[in-house]
Amino acid sequence: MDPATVSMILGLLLRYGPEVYKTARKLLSGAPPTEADWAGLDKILEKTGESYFTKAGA
Amino acid sequence: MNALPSRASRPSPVRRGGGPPPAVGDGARDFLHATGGPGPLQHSGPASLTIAFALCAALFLSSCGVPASQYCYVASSATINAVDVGMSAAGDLYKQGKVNESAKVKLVSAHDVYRPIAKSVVDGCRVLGASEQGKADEAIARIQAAGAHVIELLVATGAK
Repeated sequence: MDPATVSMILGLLLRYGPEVYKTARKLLSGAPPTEADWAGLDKILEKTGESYFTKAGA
Repeated sequence: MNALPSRASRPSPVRRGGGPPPAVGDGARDFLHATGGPGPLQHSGPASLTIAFALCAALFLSSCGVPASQYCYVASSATINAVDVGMSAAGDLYKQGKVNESAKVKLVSAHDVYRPIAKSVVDGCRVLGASEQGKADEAIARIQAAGAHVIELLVATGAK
């Protein structure tokens, strides 16, 4: 693997790893979903496909 | 006079018990090999991690006695978060010029199909009664099918 790929992977893991870890822990905790949890899903689903690629970012 | 099988013929410790994580990892690896040469997302953590994340959460919950609404929430949330993280990573790579316009258009189109399905599944999951396991299974199957298409495209983006 070339250094550019390694640095890109590390960058993505640093950027999204903690978020994935926190979400996984929450989901596997077994706690029933609260209204805030449902609202969190609604918030994610408000993002359009295009919004992930705009300069402002998702 | 050794009754034990030789070391070589013993089952692999990784495979013993048939747990889901190794199978998911193998599937994702096979898929990546099938898609061709290296690319920006092909060897990256998020694409493989998100697939493993969604499938492990769904497999874990399908074996536990939780209320239908909670089961539906966790499984749909795993898919929604997996797609969100994957799309965010693809968006970042696009801004860095590592994902081309054609791949972006495909991802946006797939996401535009997935999003209304995911919204309707979340709305349905919210009002599920404790005993409506069948409806939960149906809803989860719908969102996973829609999410899987987006995730497949995210992984395939790396093969361009």
